[in-house]
Amino acid sequence: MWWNNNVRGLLFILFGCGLFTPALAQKDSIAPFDKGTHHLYLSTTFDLNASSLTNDFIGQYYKGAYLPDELRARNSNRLNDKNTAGYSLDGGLFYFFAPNNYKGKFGYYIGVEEHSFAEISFRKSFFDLLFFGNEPYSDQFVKLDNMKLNIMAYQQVKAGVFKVFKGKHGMHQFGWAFGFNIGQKNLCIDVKKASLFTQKDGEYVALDMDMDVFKTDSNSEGFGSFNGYGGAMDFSYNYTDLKQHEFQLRLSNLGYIRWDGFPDNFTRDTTIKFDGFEADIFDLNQPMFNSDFGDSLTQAIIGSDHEGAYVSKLPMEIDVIYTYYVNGTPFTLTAEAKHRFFSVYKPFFSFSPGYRIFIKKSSLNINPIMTYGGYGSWNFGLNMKAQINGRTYLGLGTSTLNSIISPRSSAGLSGFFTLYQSL
Amino acid sequence: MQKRCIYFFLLVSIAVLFHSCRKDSSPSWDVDVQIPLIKTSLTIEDLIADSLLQVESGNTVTLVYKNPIYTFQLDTLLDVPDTISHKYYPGLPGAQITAGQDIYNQTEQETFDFNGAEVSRLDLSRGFIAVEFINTLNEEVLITYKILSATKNGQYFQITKTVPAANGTPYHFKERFDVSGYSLDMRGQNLLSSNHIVTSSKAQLSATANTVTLTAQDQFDMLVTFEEVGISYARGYFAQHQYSFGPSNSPIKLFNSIHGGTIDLESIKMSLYFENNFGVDVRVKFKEITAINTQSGHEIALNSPVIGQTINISRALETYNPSQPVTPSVYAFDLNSSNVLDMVENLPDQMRYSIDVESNPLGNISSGNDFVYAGKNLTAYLDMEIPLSLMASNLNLGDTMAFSLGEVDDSRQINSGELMLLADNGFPFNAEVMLIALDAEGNVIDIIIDHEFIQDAPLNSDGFAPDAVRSVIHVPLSRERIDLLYSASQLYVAAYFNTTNAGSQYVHIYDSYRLDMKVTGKFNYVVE
Repeated sequence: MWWNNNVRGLLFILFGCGLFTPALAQKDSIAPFDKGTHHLYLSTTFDLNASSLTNDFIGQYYKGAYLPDELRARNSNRLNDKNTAGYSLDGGLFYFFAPNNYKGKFGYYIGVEEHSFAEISFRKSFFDLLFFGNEPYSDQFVKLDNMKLNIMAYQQVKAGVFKVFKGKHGMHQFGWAFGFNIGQKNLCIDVKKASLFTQKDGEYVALDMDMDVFKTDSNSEGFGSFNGYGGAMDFSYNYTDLKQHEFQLRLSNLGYIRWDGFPDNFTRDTTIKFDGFEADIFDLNQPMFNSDFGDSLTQAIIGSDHEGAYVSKLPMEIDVIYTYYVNGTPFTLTAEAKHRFFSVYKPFFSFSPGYRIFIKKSSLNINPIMTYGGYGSWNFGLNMKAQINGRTYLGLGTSTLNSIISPRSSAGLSGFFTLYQSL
Repeated sequence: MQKRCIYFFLLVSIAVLFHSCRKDSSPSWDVDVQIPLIKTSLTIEDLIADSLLQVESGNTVTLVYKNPIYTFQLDTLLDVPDTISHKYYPGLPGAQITAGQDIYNQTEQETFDFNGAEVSRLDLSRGFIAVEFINTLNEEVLITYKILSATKNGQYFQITKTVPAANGTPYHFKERFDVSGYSLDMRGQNLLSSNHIVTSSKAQLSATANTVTLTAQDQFDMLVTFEEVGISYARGYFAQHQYSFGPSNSPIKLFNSIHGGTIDLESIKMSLYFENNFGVDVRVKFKEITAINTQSGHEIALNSPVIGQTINISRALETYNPSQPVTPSVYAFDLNSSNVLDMVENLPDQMRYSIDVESNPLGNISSGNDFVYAGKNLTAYLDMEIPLSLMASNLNLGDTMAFSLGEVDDSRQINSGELMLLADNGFPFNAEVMLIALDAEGNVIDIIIDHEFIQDAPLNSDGFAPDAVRSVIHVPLSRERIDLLYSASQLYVAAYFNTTNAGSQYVHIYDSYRLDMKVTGKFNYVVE
């Protein structure tokens, strides 16, 4: 009875808090339900952020608007030597089944996920070169090394099992899942070393670079394109003492994609010096300012010694969450640390106090949240979660309210929406 | 349960919508770019074709130029008449002609008039024989025409054609036949005469025709002519003729790019050459050779003993080698003691001449063995060797070139900028340059560079310029000027060269001299 009536509700809230506290979290491998129930789980999260750029810059860029000098200069002044920016968009739809009891039995789930992200780590000099041109760097070397751009989209079909153990002081839950990855598209440019020199009279520009480029077939990269395949694994562990403490550990997307649908990859370690097109002064009937320049430069960079299939590691995420329920009060305190490996994503931290309001069999959690890291820097937001009649769990929120309020001085646009529904 | 499922699908739809709601238009911003645009190098070989240059032992350069003044061609010496034969046979009233019966059948020797020439052989490189026949009978007539003297690959020329019936009005048949490659033996039936060919013409009633009775109105008219005939070879005696040509002008292209200024050459070597490729003795006399600068209007006549002098030039030798069938007879007349230096310094673009030519002045001394080959002519030309050691004053070289910067829409991406011309001049000339943009009709759109100065390379004590000197010319580009340049379709480039820094010293041109030019640009550019 105790398990059935109280713990289930408590677990519902605990897992819900743990699951939805971070704005970026978008799913859990462990279902919070038991007793042979069936559940559906839907989640969508979006995160766009930058370590130094501001929302008004990103917004104008994203809208395709004109970027005035003041906007570019202000953002340039905010940049550090190295910076990050990125977005990720993830969604999932799962079916869960929890057995009547876990003695010798496992719960299981199956579902699909959609992932896409674009991330870049770049130098201030790259930003300035891109948005102000090379003329300010006349007679100087512009260092462009240690930069990376990675754009990827893939889908997953996942199936997993979970099991709950009742311990002396609390509950332990383990989960494990395997996913089949369908690679949609990828572009990865890893610039290990690069510099650009512009001679002071513009007599020549010299680009010295050492980079790896991986890309899939740009003619076939829409949703549903099958450009690669691979596998991934998730693991989770939850512990709660059913009173005040809850601890979660999640490892997700430990896996890879082998891109083999007409991909292209090459390494270029070379110096390209451009000192103008050779012109026949007696026949200037060829256009000078046209795409030929870009084509020629592109050809020089890309070359022709290309290889085919390649393997990408997925951005594996490790997430650790601790929640403290202040005894006898409606208050909670949640702290999270997260990191994505094989990504430019920086360690992410969040702290979120919460307040619960109980209305009959339902409850509403209000969680202000403060975050640092990831693609961005400091952010503040508000999450809300509602438990309705013990069968529905609804969560939504954002962790980037500050950048909406003050787009000139901060960056970030994020949101999540999550729904558990017992069937 | 059903309501909940609908609820879920609604949420999934929202998620998909959120995913797909992406902006496709591109942002734009201004950047200041500095890039090299074009580069080019000018050497003396670029200004003057390699074939005209000769590098001397001291690496100085001499201009070697051969300029034809007059060419006496084969068709002047020998003109082929058009008509081969014209036969007219009136019908005999009352005579009956049955199917397959000959109306006429004749073999004849045709005579050509070559204006006094006695031709024994004529090879045709191209041309046609046109056969016209008028049939007044109401039945088909079969005509056969042969030139027994015209052979190709051992076969004589022959055509056979059916001429359709008159059907009330005479049928006019005309058709022409290729005679390229035929050789005409013009020695006649006895092979001892000249200007004769043997032909055979026949007309017979078609084998399927009905018997016809001729009336007074029936006639048979056959005309055979040459059309568009070209001679590849002729042999015989080409007669003694006197020709007088001119005054006529022949172009000199050597100084075409020079539009003004003066040049003072240190020296020149020039000869007047006659090259006789005819198997015919000739006697020539130049009555005038005058160098004309049509821009300045200056004319300088050659003052040399060759003017008015009768020159006998013997015939060429026939080698019977198909690749080099003729060894020409060449006569050279040295003009170095004349005023040729003044003539060349006049920078002529035309040469006016007047010449008398006499063929076979001594008569038929070859016993009918004169010969001519197509393309092997009698030519008079000036052979010049001009060491490029000179003084120049405002020597104006200019040319108009086709030009395009690309689509006009592209110009919208450039707000403003500046072009820089970086000139590393290794020539011991300084230059003022002009660059003018023109529209398609040649109207001036914009003067891009207006008499900007390019420094000359200094000479050392040996009269050699070892180091190039850089000059920089800035061309501001306003928005308006950019639009003008994008609409330009021609560029006029002009340079005024001077050797003033060398004083009164002649400046030698060495083959190592070069002018390297680069155009770089600074642009405020809209990235889209």
